[in-house]
Amino acid sequence: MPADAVDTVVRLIAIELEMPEDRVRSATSLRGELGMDSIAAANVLFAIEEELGVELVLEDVEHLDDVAEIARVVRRARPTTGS
Amino acid sequence: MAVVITGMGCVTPIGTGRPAFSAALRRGESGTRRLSRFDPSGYECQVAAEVVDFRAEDFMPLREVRSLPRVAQLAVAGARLAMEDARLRAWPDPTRVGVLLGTSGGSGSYQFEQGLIFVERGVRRMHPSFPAYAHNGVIASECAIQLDAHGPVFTVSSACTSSTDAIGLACALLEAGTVDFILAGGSDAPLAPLLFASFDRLGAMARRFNDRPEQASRPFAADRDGFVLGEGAGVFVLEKRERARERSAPILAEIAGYGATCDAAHHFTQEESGVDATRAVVEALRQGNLSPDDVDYVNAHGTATAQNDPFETAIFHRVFGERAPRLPVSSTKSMVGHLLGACGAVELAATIVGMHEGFLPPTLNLDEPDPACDLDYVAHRARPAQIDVALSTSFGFGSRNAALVVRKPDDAG
Amino acid sequence: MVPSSAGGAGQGADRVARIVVRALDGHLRRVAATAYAVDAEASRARLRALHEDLGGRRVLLFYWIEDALPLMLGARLAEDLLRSEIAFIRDETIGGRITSGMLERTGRPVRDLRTTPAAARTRDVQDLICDPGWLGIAVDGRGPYRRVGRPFARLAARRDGFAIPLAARVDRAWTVRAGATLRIPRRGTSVTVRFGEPILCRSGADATLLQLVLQQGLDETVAAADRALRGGVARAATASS
Repeated sequence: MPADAVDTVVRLIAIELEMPEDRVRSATSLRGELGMDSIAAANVLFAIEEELGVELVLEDVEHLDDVAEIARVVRRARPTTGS
Repeated sequence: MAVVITGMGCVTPIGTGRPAFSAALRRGESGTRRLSRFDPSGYECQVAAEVVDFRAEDFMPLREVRSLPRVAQLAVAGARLAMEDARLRAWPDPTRVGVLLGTSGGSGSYQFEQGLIFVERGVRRMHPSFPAYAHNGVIASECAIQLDAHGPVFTVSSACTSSTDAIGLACALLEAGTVDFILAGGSDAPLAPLLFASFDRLGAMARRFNDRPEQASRPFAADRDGFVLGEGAGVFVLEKRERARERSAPILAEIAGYGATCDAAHHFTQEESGVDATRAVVEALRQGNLSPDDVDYVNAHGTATAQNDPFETAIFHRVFGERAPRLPVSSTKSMVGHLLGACGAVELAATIVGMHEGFLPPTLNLDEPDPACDLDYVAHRARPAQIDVALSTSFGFGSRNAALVVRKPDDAG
Repeated sequence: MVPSSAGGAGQGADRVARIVVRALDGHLRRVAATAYAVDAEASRARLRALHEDLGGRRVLLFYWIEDALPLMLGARLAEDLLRSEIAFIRDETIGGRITSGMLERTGRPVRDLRTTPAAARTRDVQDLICDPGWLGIAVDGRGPYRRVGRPFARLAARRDGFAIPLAARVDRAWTVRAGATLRIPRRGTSVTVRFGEPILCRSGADATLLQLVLQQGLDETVAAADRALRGGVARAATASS
């Protein structure tokens, strides 16, 4: 897993929520502070999978509320099989 | 009618934006290639008219690029280009702006893709916004959301006459005073396996030119063997003539009349008598108080199917009488393919480009015409011509007929 | 005076027409005994309404020559359907002679439209333009089949009144081509008579557009009558309910 998982997660959240990356990076709660709802969360997770070529176990990540935790799960994820 | 077109935005297989589209029409470019969106090797038809130069990120926020169905992305791009073309950065009063777009395939491709995910990987893997994107109304509402239109916003779905109908209905909304501006046109992105496969099975698509894709769309030709499925969008800014003059907007064309009828007879084709089809054209001419003798150019539906081309030719004989053989009629589907619900809008755009720039868009690949198709189809190459009044026809499944008549503005600028 | 050569041919044709008229008249009487009139009451009501709206105006009722004999049949079944104040135009075509001959037998007024000599034609056309009443005319007696010609569009415009498409359709008929196409109703046929929407024909109207609109109006009226004859929506709905 590439070391820049955090950067990727931050960038994709910033795109989804349409806010500066710094704001995402400094947030302690994505839900409480940035208002990320379940649809936005799913969009981010799908984007992460697509961009990094990994497959996440959705149940493991959907409840996560900060960037570092998400990045940790992403680093452990297995590469997508097949195409 | 007092409705004018002050901007056009086209996203087509031969170019995105008016300058590129216009140049390709003039050169007589074919947008047909071997299908690349998915592997077509299992089908009899293996070609399509894909939009290849389109970058969604040029027209919308990145988050939409990833999630929004392609049909809506093309619509948003067309609408944005139309606004720019009309020199509108923002609306004077967004509450007086409507969006009325036509589509046939609509969200069908998106539904199909998501349906596969549902079956193979379960509902949790489906796009969470699916319910909001799975209806055809999304193409109009996404334009409204992204371009700040707060008036009536809806999608018309009437098969291949969809966008012609959308433009005609938009005129009615303007004339009724419901809106000051309206984004009208259509979008379709049917290049997913489901619709492609079913048209293939129907035998409606060209199949003998897989090795020469650019020759596959052959309207009116003796050896035509069906249409080439395409994707794209065409959107116009419509407003009342007086308002356009007040704001010194560039007027591209005036919409003189619109006629829509239904044979109420058949699921696929028109009634051979053509009574209702002719009535659509007559109605459009009457609304504009125009004589058939006033028409300088016809952009035909011209699908290159066995049924359509002789049928349409007969309609033009009825309407234009003795003058029919001398009246230029062309099918720009030979270049852009058949865009289903978006075809009428993109063909109107081609008509207006020809009117504005003084040339007749050609019918490609017309090496030898079908004996039952005996008009001047502007074969192979564009021709310089002055077009003051033009007719654009669309015919659709369910035996629908629609016609728009456009006129050069008095003060063509 | 009519030149003798044309007059000779004309008299010969008249004699033939008289014989045919007698035979057809008898035939239609027999057919009427077994024919079924579709929507006859609606047609009558429609004609009454048209008369109320346009009574004092110049009106041209126009139809295809193939509908002429079915029209006679329809009129036989509903006496007031072709009111006596409608005068029919007799031209010199076979179809024109036959149909006007039959109308004359029923005591209806007939107006002549001669082809030759030119002076007679001009005078006849002038009379038709000035005629203040309702005129009936078959528009494709000279061919081409089922086409409204430019001369008719001009006549309609110069009368500066209304033209009403008229269709009379039967589902059992022999088709005879004698210069023009005639349809001779057969026993057991259904017949329906339908009046289309009045078309305003102003003097100075564009003849090409008017020709197209007249053509379209008659095409639609005939199509609607054919639908009514086949059963139409109303009957299908009744059958299923």
